[in-house]
Amino acid sequence: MTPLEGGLLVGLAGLFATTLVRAVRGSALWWAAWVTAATAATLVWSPLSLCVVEWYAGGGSLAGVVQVTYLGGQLTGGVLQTDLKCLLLLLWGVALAVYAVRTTGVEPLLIGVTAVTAGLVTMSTDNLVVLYLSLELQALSLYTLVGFYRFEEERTEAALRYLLTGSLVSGFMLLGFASGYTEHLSFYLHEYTSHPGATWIIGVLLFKLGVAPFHFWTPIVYTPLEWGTLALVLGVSKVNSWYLLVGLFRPCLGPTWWSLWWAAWLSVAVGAVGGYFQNNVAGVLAYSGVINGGYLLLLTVGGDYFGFGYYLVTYLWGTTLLVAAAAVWPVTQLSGLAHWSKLGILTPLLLYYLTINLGGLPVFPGFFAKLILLRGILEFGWLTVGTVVAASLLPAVYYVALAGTALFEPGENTTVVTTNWSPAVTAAVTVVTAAGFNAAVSVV
Amino acid sequence: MEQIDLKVRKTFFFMMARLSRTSGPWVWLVQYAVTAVAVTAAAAWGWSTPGWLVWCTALAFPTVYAVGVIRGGIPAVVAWWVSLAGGAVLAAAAAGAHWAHGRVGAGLLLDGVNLPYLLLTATLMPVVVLASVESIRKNQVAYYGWVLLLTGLLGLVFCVEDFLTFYVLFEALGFPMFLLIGQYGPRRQRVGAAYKFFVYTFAGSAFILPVLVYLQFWLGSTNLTVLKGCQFTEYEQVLFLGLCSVPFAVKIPLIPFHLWLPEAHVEAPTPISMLLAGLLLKTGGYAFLRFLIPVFPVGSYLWGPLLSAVGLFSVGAASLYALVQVDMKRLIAYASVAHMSLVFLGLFSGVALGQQGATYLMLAHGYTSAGLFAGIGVLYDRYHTRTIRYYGGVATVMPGFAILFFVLTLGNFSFPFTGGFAGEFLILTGLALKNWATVLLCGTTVLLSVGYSVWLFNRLFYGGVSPHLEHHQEVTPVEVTVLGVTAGATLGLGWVGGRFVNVTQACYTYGLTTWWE
Repeated sequence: MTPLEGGLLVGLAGLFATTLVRAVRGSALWWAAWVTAATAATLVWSPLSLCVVEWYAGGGSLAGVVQVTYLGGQLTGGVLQTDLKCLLLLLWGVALAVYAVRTTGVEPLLIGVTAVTAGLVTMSTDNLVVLYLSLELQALSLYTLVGFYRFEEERTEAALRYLLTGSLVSGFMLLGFASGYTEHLSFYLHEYTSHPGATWIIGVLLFKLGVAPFHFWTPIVYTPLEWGTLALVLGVSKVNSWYLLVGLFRPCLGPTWWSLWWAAWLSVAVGAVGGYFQNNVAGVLAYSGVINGGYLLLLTVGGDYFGFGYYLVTYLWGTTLLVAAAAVWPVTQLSGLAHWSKLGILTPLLLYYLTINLGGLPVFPGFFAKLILLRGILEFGWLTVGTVVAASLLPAVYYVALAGTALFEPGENTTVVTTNWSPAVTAAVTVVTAAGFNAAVSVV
Repeated sequence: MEQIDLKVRKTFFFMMARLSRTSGPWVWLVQYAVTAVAVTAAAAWGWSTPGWLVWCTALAFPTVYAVGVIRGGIPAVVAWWVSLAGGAVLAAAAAGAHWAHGRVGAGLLLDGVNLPYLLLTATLMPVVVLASVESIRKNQVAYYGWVLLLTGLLGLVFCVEDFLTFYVLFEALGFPMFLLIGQYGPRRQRVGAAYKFFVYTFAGSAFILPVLVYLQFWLGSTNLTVLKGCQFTEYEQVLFLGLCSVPFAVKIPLIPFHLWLPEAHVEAPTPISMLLAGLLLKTGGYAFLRFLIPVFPVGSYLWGPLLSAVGLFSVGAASLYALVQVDMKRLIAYASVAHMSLVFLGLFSGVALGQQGATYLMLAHGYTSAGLFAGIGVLYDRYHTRTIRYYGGVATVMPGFAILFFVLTLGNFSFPFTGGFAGEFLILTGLALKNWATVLLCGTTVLLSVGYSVWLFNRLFYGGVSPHLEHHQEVTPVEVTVLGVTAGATLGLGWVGGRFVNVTQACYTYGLTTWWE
């Protein structure tokens, strides 16, 4: 383990311990939020090296998160790693705010912090043992969170399925690592000259990312979740897997590019159609994850890492904010969104904005991400571009149907649970970040 | 108004509203006329709106409106004043620009091609707001905000020089429109109409995306001047024009891309129908005129016969559809499709005269169709039905309204000395220079438009008063202003067609059609 990894582990252990102590004393949520925000701010703004990240020469500012020029720097470590760590922490900050809406108890927050910590560790090591253990720790935390409300039968079933399939693919991951170790007799990836277990490893990462053909678990697991955990599994938990795919295991992609290519197309097809048959926001977002995962894979195969970085940040940030905006509704069923006459018009409008942003319609960052996506795949020919454009039409329609329910169905006879969550917060964050993303696209 | 507290009473906007009440019912018309005269005088004096101010309009309209409302203003009155001021800004920009080649600041282009559209936006915007004053009852604060945002965006759409920026703004028009149809329509079916509007426009727009990516990332620019200078291959021209035509054909709309329009018109509230027919449809025709035909001239030439055939079919089919409608709004919607299809034929006529006619017909149709929809709104507000068979004898109980509606009906079937006549005459003359058979086939739409327009007027206004109609009331001053401005413009445009042709001749000949001859 390098000093950097050690420092990272110590820092995150401190974070965990602080949260735990405060949790025991009460007011855990806000302390956890504070610590997370402080850590993120330190990582982003501090001019000093904290021994937990490698700083880009021109970095040290929030621009590192949103300006795509930085995102394509070094693929293993360096800027990509730094930016994605910051992204992970920022997403976790949003998820915490979503938890604040109505979660009682500190356990989900502690489990969430464990998942985040484990995710950060996976982005900071090339030791296969540490990597495997941290991936398992993250997965275990997520299984626990999914099944946390054990009196809800649907969630218990989802957690069980998630556990069983997750355990199976963990075995495949182990097989991939063991293949590498057998050939090179080392646990350190940088000492490897070939990657005999690449197919297994890439397959497991695709499973964790929820892209086709390993997407089957996502709607089942996401659908029964409450908003907080949904924000966690949709955004936070995917950052490190994407990093591993395009960063640490980038050398493995060479021999498997064709399988990624087909996985990308399958994801685009499945994601485009699957969302139509969902009656739950979580289900829609699950298939949104599938199709956007397909787009990101296309950018990966095309080698456009500038585009990859911008698209990933735009997609994950937009999705998490969408969950944050929708968190004022008590349930995740689509029919449950019909409450705007009680909530005021701001929340449905925010949802409208965020859904069309996710659909990649003009003016919004999602549109520029779509342009960058098309630029990245232009080298594959007009047929590819045309197919992606055609496929992107379908999700836009079901995204807008989601917002339309909130906008056009007043639901005057239903009861709305009052929350302490102000949509103005999400609105402010949305506006500021959208301006940042739109400004950043000019760099491209 | 009486419930407003003392503090609010002292605000500027309240005073304006008070003025509107105490100065007599015609104050709306007077204010509109005074603004028009002031802008004309300012333009004659040499004042022109700077480019940066035009850029600000899209966000400035709703922002100033929001401030006014927060300060205690009445939404409708604040929106009226903002729309008058905004219209003045846009009209001054148009009036002060050069007719032949007018770059105004960074990224804006104002010349003979787009000035008519900008003037149409500037003059129709307050009319739309005014038409809302008595017809929009719920959630007014958000409503006027969306309308002002929409009109501000329209002003920019007709000015920008960059194709990508144009596309982004063109798409952005759909978002407030989706809300306005889906939330403010009078019936439950409005939601389906809003979705249909969204799906059609968004699906059409997707075709243009690959072209934009190619232009932006491979050529490095989507600026109109740069694009016009590019030497595209024949294959590229055909491909690009074909792809780019789809979203604008949807917006015009041409049959068979038209299905969203009748639904949207029927379900939208009256002022939004006015906005849709008067301004939004024009963005499709304008895109062909400003960007597609000049940038892809060979593509236009090669696609010309096929697109003209589609336009011809669309003209005839829409006119026939209009003849069999039982809902008066749907009838005018199909009449709009027929007129805009004729515009499309003018655009692809290949001569300057035809394209000038296309612009002129769009201008005339903007006022006439907006006025007709306003007239239908007047009837719907009183009798709560749009089904033609329930009407009859309205001229007996609303004679003033009958006169105004008659003028608009004349414009709808392009009677001489109305704007529609001048536009259609120019288009048909342009087409006659190329192909007489096309002119003869297009001529059928003139006959059919007489049929459905006169039939509609006859059924609504003549005969005995229908027993289904109760609680008659002559048009209010607000309604007279709305109908008067649109009817006046319809008549006025019938007299200045020749002047329009003369002042835009150089622009159309030099800027658009040198490739063709």
